[in-house]
Amino acid sequence: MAKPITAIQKRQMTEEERRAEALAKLKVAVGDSEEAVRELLEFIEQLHESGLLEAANALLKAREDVAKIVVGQLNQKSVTTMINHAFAIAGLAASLDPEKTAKLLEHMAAGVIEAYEQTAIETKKVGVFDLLKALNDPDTNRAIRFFLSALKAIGQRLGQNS
Amino acid sequence: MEAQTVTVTINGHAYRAKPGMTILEVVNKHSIPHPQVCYTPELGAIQTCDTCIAEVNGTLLRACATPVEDGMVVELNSPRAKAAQKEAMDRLLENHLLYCTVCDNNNGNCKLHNTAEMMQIEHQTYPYRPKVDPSEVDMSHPFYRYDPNQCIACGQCVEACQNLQVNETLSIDWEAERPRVVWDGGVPINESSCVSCGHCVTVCPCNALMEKSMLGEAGFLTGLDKDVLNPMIDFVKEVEPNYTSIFAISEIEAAMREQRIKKTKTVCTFCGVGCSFEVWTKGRKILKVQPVSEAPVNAISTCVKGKFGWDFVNSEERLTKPLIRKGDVFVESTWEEALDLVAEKLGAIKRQYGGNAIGFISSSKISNEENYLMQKLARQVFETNNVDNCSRYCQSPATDGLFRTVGMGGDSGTIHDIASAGLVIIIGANPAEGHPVIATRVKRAHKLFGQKLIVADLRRNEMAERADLFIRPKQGTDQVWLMAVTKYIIDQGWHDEAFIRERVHFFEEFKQLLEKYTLDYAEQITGVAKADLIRIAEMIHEADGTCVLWGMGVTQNTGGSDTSAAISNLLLATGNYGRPGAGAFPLRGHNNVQGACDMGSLPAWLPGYQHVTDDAARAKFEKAYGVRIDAKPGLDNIQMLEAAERGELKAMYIVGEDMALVDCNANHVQETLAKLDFVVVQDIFLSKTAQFADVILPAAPSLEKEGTFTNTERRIQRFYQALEPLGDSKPDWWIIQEIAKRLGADWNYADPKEIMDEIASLAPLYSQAHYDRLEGWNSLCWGSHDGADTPLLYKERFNFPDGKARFALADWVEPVQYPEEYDLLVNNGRLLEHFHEGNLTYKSKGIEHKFPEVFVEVSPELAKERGIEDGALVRLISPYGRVKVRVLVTDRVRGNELFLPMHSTANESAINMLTGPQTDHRTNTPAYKQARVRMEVIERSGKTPLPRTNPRFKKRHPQNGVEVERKWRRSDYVPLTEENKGVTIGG
Repeated sequence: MAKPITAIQKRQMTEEERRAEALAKLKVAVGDSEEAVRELLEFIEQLHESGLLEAANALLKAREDVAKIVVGQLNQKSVTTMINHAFAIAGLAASLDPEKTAKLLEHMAAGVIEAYEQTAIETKKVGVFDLLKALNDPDTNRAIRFFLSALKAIGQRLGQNS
Repeated sequence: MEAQTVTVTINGHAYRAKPGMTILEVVNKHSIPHPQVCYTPELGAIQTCDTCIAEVNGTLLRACATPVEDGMVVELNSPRAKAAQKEAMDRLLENHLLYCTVCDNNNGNCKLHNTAEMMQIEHQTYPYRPKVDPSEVDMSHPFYRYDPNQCIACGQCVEACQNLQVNETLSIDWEAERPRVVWDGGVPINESSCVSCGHCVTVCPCNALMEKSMLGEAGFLTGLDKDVLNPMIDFVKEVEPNYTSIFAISEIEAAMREQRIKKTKTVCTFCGVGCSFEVWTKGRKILKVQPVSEAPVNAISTCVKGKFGWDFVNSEERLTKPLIRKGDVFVESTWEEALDLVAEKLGAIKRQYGGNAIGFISSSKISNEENYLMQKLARQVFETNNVDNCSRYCQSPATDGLFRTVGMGGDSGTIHDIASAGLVIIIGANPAEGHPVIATRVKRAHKLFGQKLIVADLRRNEMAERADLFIRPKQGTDQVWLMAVTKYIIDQGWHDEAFIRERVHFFEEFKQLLEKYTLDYAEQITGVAKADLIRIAEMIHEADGTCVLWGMGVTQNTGGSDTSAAISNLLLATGNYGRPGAGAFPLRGHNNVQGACDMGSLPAWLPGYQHVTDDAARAKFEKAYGVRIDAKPGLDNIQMLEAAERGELKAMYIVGEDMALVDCNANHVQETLAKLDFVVVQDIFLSKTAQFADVILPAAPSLEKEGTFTNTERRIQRFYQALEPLGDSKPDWWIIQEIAKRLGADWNYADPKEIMDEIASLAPLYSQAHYDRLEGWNSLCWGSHDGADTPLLYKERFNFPDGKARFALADWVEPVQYPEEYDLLVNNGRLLEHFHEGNLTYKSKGIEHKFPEVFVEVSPELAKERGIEDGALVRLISPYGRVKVRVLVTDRVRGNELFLPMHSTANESAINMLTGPQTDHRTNTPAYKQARVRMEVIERSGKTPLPRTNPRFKKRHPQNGVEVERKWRRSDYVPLTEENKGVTIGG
């Protein structure tokens, strides 16, 4: 005769039994990957000696607050503006033909060096006529054409946008 | 003459396609990447998003809605097409903030994310604008949330709700300034007619509709506090980098999620439809159920239980250690102790009284492999045929009716035949609640494709409301109207004479039997008007294919088998077998009712429906098992209890069945269980039955093991292990094997695959059901003796030696008579939210919130007569027992008919305290549906047992799908297509 029952007597593991069981499982796991565990211990030792472990620990403990501060800082107008600038400049750089840019930079660098040297030798004041004369110089003229073309292109785009 | 294929040129390449396919279907078939945000194959072209626009013979058209024509030239990537796609996408993105990395839907399958990435969207032309205040995010529903501010108003959820699930709750307010999705015209989700099927969440292409179980769980960053998360989203918004960089980061994060979230294919265990889907888990947490198009039965469809009802797996109440009865308590033990005790006791009983003194109850919830081992344990180790399963309680009469007429005990076709039938007749079943995904196919075909629907039921359920013709025959009289309609059809000459001549025996005898079943006689017995009976005959006659779906309303009667045979007779007479879109569909109630029977967990059948009286079959098993097998069938469930009462049966081993509650006349069952010398119960919870056990063995549910189930379509499907067994619980196959081994059996199955290989070697119907054949989403419908996949039975022959079917010759069996004082009929069955007695589904908080306790439905007439209201407390008394339940007044029931759902885990409210010992005269299935009671009023009114937030109190809002025309009529809608340019694409 079996009466219906609902009571369950749980087998209560003592704290010690529980710990022993956990340790036993752990022992197996450690045994299975002995080398990795040894390496990990060494790594931890290094972290500890260098003080990095302590710093990381502190950072982790304060993670909520730190996250708030970081995101708060990030959200300042100046930061988002800066990031947007960075994206814009990065975007510009991405769209240019690197070969042409390299050539232009090379020419400009050469020009600048030469200009330094010339300025050191030539101390004479440049007059209006010298400017007009310079226009006739094919090298100077080419450089001016470059900047005028650039100005024109920028002006055109400005016109499209307004 | 129509060409078999047409040739279209897409992006300069020629493709052959079937006429009638759309451009998008051809594009997808050949895996050409192309945007299609609002397109889901199961829903068809709803044309709301415009992202799939292509240049077709020079005209911009939606690829999803344009059928291919021979010679058509399609450019998916022309500058004009690209520009239109980009504009369409920009319009969508105005509604949606792409904060993917901190979004719980960033799991690699976000359609919006993937489309934006594929289209290389760099910037948003129209800046994101929220639609509503963030406080209007709808969190009211227990299972899912809606965020209007992330909703792109693509309307797939609406289309799914209106035309696939056909619950008709969701719509889009196209006339609003900013269109969004609304429930029942604009109420909180939890206050709506939503039945929590989950279709809307599944088809949402972004994170607007999300399972609540995913929120804060899926991502690495999404679980952050609001005061960190919101500024982070703001930051992403403020920085507005080009989207390619966002996508790159979110891609990395999604890849990391892949590592952490496990996605496992499983098969649902909440009814016999056999839905399969992925279950997403993180550790032991069940994140969500994700349906996929590849699922052979349900594709993206689910119901509330399959989509959201899995909390039981991690329930605190799960049994996690073997329990042994000691005095008045169960004491936790080790497996060694428990198994040794079981083996010792059962072994001793066998030695002393013989194996026939033990009864084995297998389960329709465990796998095929486990059912097979259960019968093997009985037949090989204990040398008895005393093995049965719970199909005895439900489906044996249907199986019997089919065996007698057409020769195989299973649905004659698949869900696709049901969907494509010209006429569906549902008798004594409520698939909208019991088999919800099958019901969706009927509702969709009925709403969209002109399928006709007849429902015969006592109760005006949802399918009855939707039916073209609803009849309410008196309880237990279905066989009469079925025979009268068959006779009328034959009298009119509407029967399929050639079919009968060539393929069916006993037509003359059958006609003679029908003599008595005139329309007048049927009207008198069933109460169904003659005109309605004639209408049924006409509808069958006019229909291109008739499918009959039936359930417990037919089978759980004293004449359940004969009524099932009468259904089959009607189908035979009208030639509705062996052709698509027709046939017999007994709706199996549990996930593996079919499989449990297929596996021979039956007293008279060996695995694969080989009868124990068949000498050759028995010899085969005797050789395999190395024992003699009795040619006499064993005891069924009911007979086991009778034998126990007589003292002949000494012990029972019961797996996964709460027979103390679900068997009829439960009081008596419980008394008998208490009398047995030794009871072993294997279950995942301390069920009512388990309370009578001497040893309880903790089993593992489907998510914690591997195996196969066979659904109502005879479809064999694999399920895979998603979780480790909880605590010390174990898969049933492991437990059964351990017991067998302790009793000397040489069993060494390492995994279920090896068990299936053995089944395949012994059961011809399963001979091709090897695991590699069933890998992933593959499946196989048994039905041929060479084991081949046979979705449609009887195309050439019926399953008899001469290949011919037989009309079953049986008269109507009158229902049980009760003394007059039992003046109320108490109908019973299932409702949508719960499964069976509710041991599993009451563990879900969300389901409990919607449906906390069982109640009895009382008609308004009866309530008025007895002076009671909603919430009244009544006692129902039958000759066999009594229950106490609260009242729900509803016109779903009429007159003196009550409805008491079976969803109770307590004796105080369990229907089977009321049901009697009468059974179907051929199969011994209890006549649950023929219960009568009298009612005593305890309190005239009280708190209504069903919360007002239950969808049954709400009114649906039907419309024609998403109604995109209303979007196109908006004054601010600028068309991107050029339909009216006058280019002819027709041939």
